[in-house]
Amino acid sequence: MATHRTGYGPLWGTVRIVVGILVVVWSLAPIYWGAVIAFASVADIRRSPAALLPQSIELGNFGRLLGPGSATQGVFLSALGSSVIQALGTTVLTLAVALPAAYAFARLRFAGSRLLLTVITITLAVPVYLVLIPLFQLATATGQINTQQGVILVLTSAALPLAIWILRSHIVTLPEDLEAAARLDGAGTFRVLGSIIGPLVAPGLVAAAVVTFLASWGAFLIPLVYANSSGTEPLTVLIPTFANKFSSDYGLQSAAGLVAVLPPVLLVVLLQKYLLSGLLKGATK
Amino acid sequence: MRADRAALLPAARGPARPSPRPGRSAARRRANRLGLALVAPAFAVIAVLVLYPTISSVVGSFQRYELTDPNRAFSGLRNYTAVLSDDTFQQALLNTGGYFVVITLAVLLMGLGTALWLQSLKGAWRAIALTVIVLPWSIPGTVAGVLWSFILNPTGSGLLNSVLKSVGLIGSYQAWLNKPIAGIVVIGLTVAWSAVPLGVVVLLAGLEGIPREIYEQSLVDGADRLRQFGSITLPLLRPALAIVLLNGAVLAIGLFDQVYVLVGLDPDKITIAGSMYLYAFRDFNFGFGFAASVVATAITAAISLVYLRLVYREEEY
Repeated sequence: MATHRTGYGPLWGTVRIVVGILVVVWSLAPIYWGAVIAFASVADIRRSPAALLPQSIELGNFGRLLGPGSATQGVFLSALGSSVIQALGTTVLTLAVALPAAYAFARLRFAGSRLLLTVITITLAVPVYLVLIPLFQLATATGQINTQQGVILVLTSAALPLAIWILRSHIVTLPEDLEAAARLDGAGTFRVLGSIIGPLVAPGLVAAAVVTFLASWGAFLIPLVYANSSGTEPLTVLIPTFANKFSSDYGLQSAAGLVAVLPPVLLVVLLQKYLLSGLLKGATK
Repeated sequence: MRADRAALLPAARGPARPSPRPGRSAARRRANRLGLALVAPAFAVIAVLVLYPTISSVVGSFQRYELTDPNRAFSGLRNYTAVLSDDTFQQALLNTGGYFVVITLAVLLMGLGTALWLQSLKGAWRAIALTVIVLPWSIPGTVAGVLWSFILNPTGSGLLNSVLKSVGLIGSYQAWLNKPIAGIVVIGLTVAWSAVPLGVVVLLAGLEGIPREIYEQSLVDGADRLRQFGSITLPLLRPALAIVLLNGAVLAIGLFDQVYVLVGLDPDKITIAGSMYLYAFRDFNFGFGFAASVVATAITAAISLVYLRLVYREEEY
């Protein structure tokens, strides 16, 4: 690495620092500014011109959002619950369905395996808006509109091809000898899947889980169409309505946004390594 | 690929061929059953919730189909001609082109710049920098829209307005999102904020994949950094660049959430995906919605083919 840097001139040190500052400011500015507003007093939010550094740190906005007797407490907590149910439900269902399929595609040669894998790979490229109307009709006809399981099923279908792809590319890299040894000891395929492949594939499983969770936590168009009633709408659908209903209350909007941002930010900070491998497998599909 | 499939299909469909060793064919049948059983749940979900609706959309785009009149009659290309000559759709097409250019340029330049910068960092520094860089990708599109709306606030309490005015770049506070062209550029940049991280990750992996010996050899041969970048880095990075470009196109054409939050369903700002939503879920004209979504998908597919051709043709020599 150091060797091919020697072609750089003396300017490189300065350029490196300037680029670094730009990258950090660009990446964090919207999050920083949202946090400043969320913890600011109403007067400081309206301050013009705005002060770059926080002038006050208080919890008034969170109180208006979540506190006892607040107008938004009920809908917000319900949407938070829906977001958690839908994202977790989608992640669990997706992994449960994707893991056996990924194992079969990686390890077994069976009639039609190549054709099925090709079809699933092609569905990676199917955009959400192309399937939105027929799925809306299907959900209406079967009474699954505005139900948690209906949204979870649609979100699962959207996440499944990528999850299969991520898991399959992990399993392919694992040594086959271990499986053979377990088989000789008389373990069945499901035992092999559970006690040998499972632990080995854990990093891939975490990568697929993080990518699936983040995609369903952030999904908007799907819940906007299939879960837009007060009982099932997730945060991504509720928060934009605040911009209309409480258009001048930036404090309330930013407090709500900050709550919705917390789980993804924690996941990225804690599981960065897995997330990156998942992202990379997804992008180079 | 096609030859493989041809070889597989008869075996899957035709009667089992007599085998000289009955034990082997029984084992093969067992493998077939097991494989299909493991894949069946996933394939069922994809068949019902992806393949069926895809076909249904394409078929529906050739039918007259409104919510008020559930009688779906074949109407040829009428949905397509109506949608393609509709002002809303034409404007959406134009907007999408604008987003496409802004997002592609931003993701390419910022992604490449950031990836090259990251390559100069090592160990813990690189891990910390990567975490910071990936953060925007993880934030839901609608929440990203809300966060950016505080920065783009048309009054003096907006971050962008107060910074630009204090350094003297603007004389009065600007309503950035209401401007016709600047609005598209600004929204495109907020989308790039979410999209650059993926570009950085892909390009960094591409850069790391270039064998160091090539650089060392070219240094011996007397090439400077700029020459190296032009004659080694860029050509060898072409597959990664194609992925980044493709993601930009997919994103621009399917863009919905950030625009929805920042300016609503404003016809001057929506993309083709947005026009599809208007036709289907505001006007309840599903036929138009189908046609718009098929056109959007076809454009995406065409752009992908052009990119792939560019990558593979150039790689041949």
